[in-house]
Amino acid sequence: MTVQSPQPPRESVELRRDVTIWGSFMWGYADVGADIYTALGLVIAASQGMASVAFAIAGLVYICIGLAYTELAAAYPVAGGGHYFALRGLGDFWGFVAGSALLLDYTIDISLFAVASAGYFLSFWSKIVTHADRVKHNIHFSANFIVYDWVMVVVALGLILFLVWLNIRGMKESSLFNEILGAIDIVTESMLVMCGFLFAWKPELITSQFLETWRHFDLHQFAYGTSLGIICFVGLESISQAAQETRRPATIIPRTSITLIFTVFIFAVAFSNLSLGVSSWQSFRDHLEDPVAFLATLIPFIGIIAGPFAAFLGMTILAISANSGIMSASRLTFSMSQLKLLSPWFDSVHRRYRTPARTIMFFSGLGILFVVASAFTPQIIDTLGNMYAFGATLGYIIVFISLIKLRFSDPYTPRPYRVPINLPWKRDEGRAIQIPILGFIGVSGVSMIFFFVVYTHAIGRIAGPAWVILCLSYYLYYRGRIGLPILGSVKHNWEQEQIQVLTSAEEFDLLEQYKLALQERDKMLRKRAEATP
Amino acid sequence: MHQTLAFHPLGIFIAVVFFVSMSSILWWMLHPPPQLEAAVAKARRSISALRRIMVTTRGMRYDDRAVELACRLGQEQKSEIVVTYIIEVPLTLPLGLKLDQEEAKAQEAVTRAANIVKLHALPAKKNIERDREAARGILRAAKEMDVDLLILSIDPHKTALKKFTGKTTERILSDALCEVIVDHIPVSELVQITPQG
Repeated sequence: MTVQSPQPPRESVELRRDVTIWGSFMWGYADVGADIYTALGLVIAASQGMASVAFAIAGLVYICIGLAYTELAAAYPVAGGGHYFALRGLGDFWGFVAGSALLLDYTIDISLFAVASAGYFLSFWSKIVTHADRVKHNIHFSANFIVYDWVMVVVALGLILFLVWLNIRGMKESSLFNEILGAIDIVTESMLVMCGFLFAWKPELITSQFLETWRHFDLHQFAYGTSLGIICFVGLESISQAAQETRRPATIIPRTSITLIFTVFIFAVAFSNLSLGVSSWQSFRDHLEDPVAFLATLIPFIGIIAGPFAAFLGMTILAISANSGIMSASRLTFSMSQLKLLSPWFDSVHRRYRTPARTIMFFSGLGILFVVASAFTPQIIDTLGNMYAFGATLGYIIVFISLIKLRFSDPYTPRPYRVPINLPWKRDEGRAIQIPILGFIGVSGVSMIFFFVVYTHAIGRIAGPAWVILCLSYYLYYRGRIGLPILGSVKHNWEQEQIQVLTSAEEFDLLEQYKLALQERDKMLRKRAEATP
Repeated sequence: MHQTLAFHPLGIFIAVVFFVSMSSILWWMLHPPPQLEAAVAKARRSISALRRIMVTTRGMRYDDRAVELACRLGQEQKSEIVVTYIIEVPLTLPLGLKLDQEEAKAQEAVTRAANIVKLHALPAKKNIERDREAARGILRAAKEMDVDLLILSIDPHKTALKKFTGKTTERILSDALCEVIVDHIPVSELVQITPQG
């Protein structure tokens, strides 16, 4: 069912296109690239000598998700990412469900990575300034009411506030922050990998560890490690979140997205192989908090300075990951508001800086609340990380279904990039639909992971659905209040909007392709109408 | 921390492969194709709109060249190429009169043209029409088949004698509802294409 929106059109201020090709890449890298710093030790501890295989399997599912996002973000270069694709493909309700799931992911992203960055900062500080092991200070109000590691919490809150200010100032400033720090991270990580393979890697060590694990293979442990490996790839949709602010998005996004997919995959596989070829898996189990820094200290020539520098590196990349979470959450709610899934209150753009300042403050505020709440649990990062994968995997399932649906319902929109392995199906109007086989494989793969996350993550399986139900309650209230259908969709002139998007993005070649496809369709429909008596 | 120096050819190989793959993928990302201006994109894509191209033939060598031209224009968007031969029937004869010799000639011409089209792996459609006047027949066929582009080749020998386009071409140019390309090659080039002229 579709209905016309009863609300008059509001005056809107468009987001400005400030994100360059490197900036677009870095928005994604900031989110995904940071995960290896926390997941490397966890995956090796769980999968032992077969950690590289676990990373490779996780990476293959991640590649499927990444390719689906690449196709959709290039075809529909607007803010919103997964929720917008779901709304286009499946309607308002599913667009909202996907949006709320991803929103949980981004809000946790802000909290989790701000805390993790604060942890690395304090570790770096203790190595450089105090030359002593970091001491955690707790505040005891009562036996059951303890604020753990308050210094780290305060630093994390300070970081979030700084990032809020940065994002309100505008994408150019915020993107520049990502671009510089991200470049330093990529160069340093590459140096670690190359020096490690050149001077410290022993293939006989990795082989013996693999064979040893294989001899005592434990499926549960391996599956658990693989699920952690998948969590390490969460966040690649940030590129599509910034699509409406990216210059020439339909041309740039396929490149930045594909580069991101393979860069992160190469890093993950390289780090896991290097780690197991340099030291035993047990030694990484003992360094769960700083696996990359530990690995760096094992490399000859650079090991002496690599320890503190790796801590600095972790701090920076985790900070830009938190920044990416703020950006994605604010852009997502901005888009949901514009599409009447959320109140227009979220729709407001700052007059001076032209950034969605209100949503930036609102969801960063929620992030701050999460940090404060998790400070009352002994393992702050564990508590936050527990909810991290739920939202992402739920959102990804809906996005995969939308990808398949849009191939049928909107074959006219030009796709500068198409997910490979397609089955052509010629329909009676003469146009061939490309059925995405990889989309079906992706739905199955991500659904299994979703199931596994719900099964193994104690806090996530409660907090995740609770968040979605809370959001749905708001949706029911808001849509009912403004007289819009709950399960139906607001009627949109998607063709006109697509033309406007491509025009504003200056993607003139795609614009002409789109107009041409619509002309052909209209011509065919006219002929069919004439032929009908 | 215990550090062990270890050189292994496989490690060196992996380091090189890592460096090359990372550098190449980043280089590829940072070098996107240039942006097209709106007018350029419009002009470029207007050719993609040519889904059905009609080319007329009389079985001459310059007609074959026009067929080849049509194929090249339709290559990217896999256009359907309609090769049309108009049998002109004088007013003194009934339109449906059996004209074995002329029909055999028409069949031979469109078959040869269709073979050229098949070389390009494009869909070919052979079309032989009868009309009192070539121009009228071509225009009617173009309209009925809803073609996007009509390619006419003109006899270079006639233009060499200063009879420029001829009345058929002139009428088509003035009355056609679709885009028209008139393919004219100089006689000297025609000799190069086919020594027998």
